[in-house]
Amino acid sequence: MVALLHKICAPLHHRLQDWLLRDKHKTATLTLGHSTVYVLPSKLGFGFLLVAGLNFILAANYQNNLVQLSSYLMLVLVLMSLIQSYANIRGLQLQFKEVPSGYANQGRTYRLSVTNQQRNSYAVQFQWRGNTTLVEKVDSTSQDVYINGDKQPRGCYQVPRLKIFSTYPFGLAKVWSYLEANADYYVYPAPQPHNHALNKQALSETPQQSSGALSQSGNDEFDGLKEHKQLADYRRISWKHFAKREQLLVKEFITEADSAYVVDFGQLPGDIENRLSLMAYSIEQAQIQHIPIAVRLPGLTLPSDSSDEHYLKALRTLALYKNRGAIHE
Amino acid sequence: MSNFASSALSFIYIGILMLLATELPTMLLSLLLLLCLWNLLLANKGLTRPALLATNILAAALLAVLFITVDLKQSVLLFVTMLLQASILKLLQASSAKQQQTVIVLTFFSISTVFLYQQSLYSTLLVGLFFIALTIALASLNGLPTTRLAIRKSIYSLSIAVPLAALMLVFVPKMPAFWQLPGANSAKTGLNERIDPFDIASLAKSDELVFRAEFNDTLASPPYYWRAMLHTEFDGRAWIKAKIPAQARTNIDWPAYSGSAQIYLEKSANPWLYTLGDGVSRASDVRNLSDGLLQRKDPSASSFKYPLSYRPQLPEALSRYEYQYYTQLPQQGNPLTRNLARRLGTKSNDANAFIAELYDYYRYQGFTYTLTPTPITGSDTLDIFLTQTQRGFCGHYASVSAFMMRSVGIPARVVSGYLGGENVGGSDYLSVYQYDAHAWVEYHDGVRWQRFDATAVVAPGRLNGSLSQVEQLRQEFRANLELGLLQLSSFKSLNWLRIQLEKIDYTWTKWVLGFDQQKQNNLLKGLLGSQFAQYSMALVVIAIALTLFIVLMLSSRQRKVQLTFSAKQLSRLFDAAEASALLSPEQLTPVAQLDYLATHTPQLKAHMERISRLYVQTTYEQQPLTKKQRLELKKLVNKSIKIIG
Repeated sequence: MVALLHKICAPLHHRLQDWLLRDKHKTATLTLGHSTVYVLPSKLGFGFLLVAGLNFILAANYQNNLVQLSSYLMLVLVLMSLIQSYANIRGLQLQFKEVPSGYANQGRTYRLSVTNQQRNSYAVQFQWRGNTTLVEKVDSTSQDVYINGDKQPRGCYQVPRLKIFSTYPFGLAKVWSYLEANADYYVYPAPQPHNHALNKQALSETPQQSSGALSQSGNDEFDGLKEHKQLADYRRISWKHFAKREQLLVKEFITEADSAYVVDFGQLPGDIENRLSLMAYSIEQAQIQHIPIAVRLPGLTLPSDSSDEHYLKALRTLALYKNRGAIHE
Repeated sequence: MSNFASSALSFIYIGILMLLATELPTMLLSLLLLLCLWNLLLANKGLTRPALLATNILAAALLAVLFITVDLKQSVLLFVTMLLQASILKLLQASSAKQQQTVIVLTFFSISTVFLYQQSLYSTLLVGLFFIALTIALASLNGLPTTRLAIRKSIYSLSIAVPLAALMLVFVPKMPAFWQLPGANSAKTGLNERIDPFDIASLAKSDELVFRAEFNDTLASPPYYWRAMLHTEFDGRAWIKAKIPAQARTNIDWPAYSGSAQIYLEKSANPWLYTLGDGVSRASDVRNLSDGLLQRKDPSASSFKYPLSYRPQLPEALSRYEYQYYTQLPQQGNPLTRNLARRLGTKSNDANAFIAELYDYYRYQGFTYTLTPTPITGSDTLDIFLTQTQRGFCGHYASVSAFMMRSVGIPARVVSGYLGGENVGGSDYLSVYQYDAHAWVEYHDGVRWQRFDATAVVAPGRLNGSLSQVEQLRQEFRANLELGLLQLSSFKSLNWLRIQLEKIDYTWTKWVLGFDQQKQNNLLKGLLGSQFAQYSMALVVIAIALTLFIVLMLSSRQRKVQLTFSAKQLSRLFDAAEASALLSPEQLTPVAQLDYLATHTPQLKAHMERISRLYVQTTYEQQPLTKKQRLELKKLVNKSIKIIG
């Protein structure tokens, strides 16, 4: 029943919120003012008001002016809190910096810079993806704020809304606002260390053929690994096995132009996620050692390259590969 | 930060417990104090807090102690104690800021319950301090960087909030009481079946409500003598309630009882009820007695309501037995009193003449009314009162008068009950408090029972309204409602202080505690005129809105940039240069800007170099300009502006 109610109410709530907020917060920089700040008593504030109400009843029953006074005092204190918490956060300038892309085994971090040229803002909190960071004091010098988010599955994400709030000074009133920067970040598959060989292949070959075992494609296009710079982990390859083959032939047939180390989806074990993790590891290692690599996914090949953009593109490709909701809200 | 809050809360609860020390059972009080001290230790030594199970066991144990030591009939005390207990235990458990915030909010309720028992200026100031401490604790738990900022913010907020709250207290129309809730105190003072006032040095008065009387048609006219008990036997020292209970009344002539009222009795375990004159009640659980008094059939300690019909006492002949009963005195004792009575008796022929003589005697022989009489011990207490001390309250006068009347053969009895009642806000009801307790005499003049009240001549104001409303006795009355500094009055400076404090306290009582619906109505009508008094609420709302707006405006002031002398001079120069379009279009530092001016406007070169030198000296080399240099800088800037212009 409750779940059903929630199911009905949640979209309505979202729609209402969208309508209320309109597009005021869809920006990378925001200065908080009366049109972008929302103020209400906090949960504690409502509890406080409840106690003020109890005091009022007590006072009326016993015709006790002092209890009455304290009940009024509590009410005024909440009103004062509303004013002060708004005044405190007013003029706060927010500037979205970035949410750096990264691997799925790490959480993302939201980075923004804050400053207030008009006055000091105290006890400002930043909430992003369920985590909160408290900044005790914001003054006229700009400072960077980091909010850590939890881990997420691989994909490309639109930067979720940042909530800025404060319950200064007494925790009885809450002012809040949002920052909705229009930016994306990628979550790459978590790299998984492995010992699988990185092979040199002809890039012109069709992807279907590349998915076969080593021995099947062991003809003129193929070469042993011994003559090439290799990743440390791949040294345990069966040298003898390769040595028996037409080593020299290979050298003659393969030109630098159309062959390269290929991080090949088809040659790795496991399910999709597992293979992508293995590939992410290879790409990460290649980037560290500046080895030019090509990336081959079913239906998609990235030519060999060793630029940082290339590795980035490769990882992004992995992040998006067969990802149903590639771009998450 | 949370240590600060936890310690502050410990101290606050210790303070609350001390303020309620007289109400709480000693054992429970000491246990709760120990818990507070424990929490203080936990907060400051960083020890681990007790486990949930341990706290629950502790809570159960405390609850057991509570139910054993606190009378279950004292429901308000029970509630207050449970609240305190729960809050202190919660405090003991609270380790996170969030839990402590909850305890703080609860504590705002706890400190209000103190006011049910203590309302003196000093207690109020103390509770005010708690209030400040609580807001500081709230602020410090809220992520403010320093405790100093928390203190500053709390004091600032309260200094605005308190006047606003006071404004609300004055201008927001008061709500009438909800009758249903039980009273705060159990009977502390009040009526006693035995009237022996002579060894009392100071009559402790309680401001507890006894009952309210709601008149059906019109308010009866004062004085209101609420009869409760008859004290018909004198044992040589005290007047005692008749041992033989009065007969239940039959054949009541209901239409003859012209006055009628509803009596709302506060929680009481006493059997006696209250009536004006001769009273009867139709309530089934009220016994109508032959002497015109009422009694409760089942005196359990709960609030109680009964309809009262009353009329003045009618002529009534005394039987021989009754005459004898009401003139009976011990054979021995108080010879001076007897003599005096006889002397007054010789001047008068009948009872009423004797009474007049007696009134005159009290009036002209220097008798005074006081709540702090000189205590009289030993035998012949009446003699000593009449001839030596001559200061006393109603009990003294009633005892002596009844004795004197009996000694000359006039049937007399002491009546105890309440005199007065506060009429709240022009309504049709009276509130009668414990401090209105009174004793007077009824004598039989041969036709009917008449009232004799010496207080009427000793303290005439006492007859009108409640004791608290009698200006003449007010100060004294206040002194008896609480401890006071009376014991120290022999020191001159302390005495002066005591008198000053009492003056303040008097004002406090009159204007703050006694500010009721009626006073509010009068004040509002006086301030706003009778046709605008009803808009007081709107006035409050406007005043609060205005104040908050001003607060917002004040807090919106921007940080001021303090320009140094040299910076001001430079900005003057640059403003002039900008007006003449000589300034570099790029954003440059002041020194670079001066350079630019020097190179692009050759006639300024010498000035610019000197200005630059002075500016560098004061800004970067931290060497303040001398008076001479300041003058020089100013002149240079003026000259340059002239050249530019």
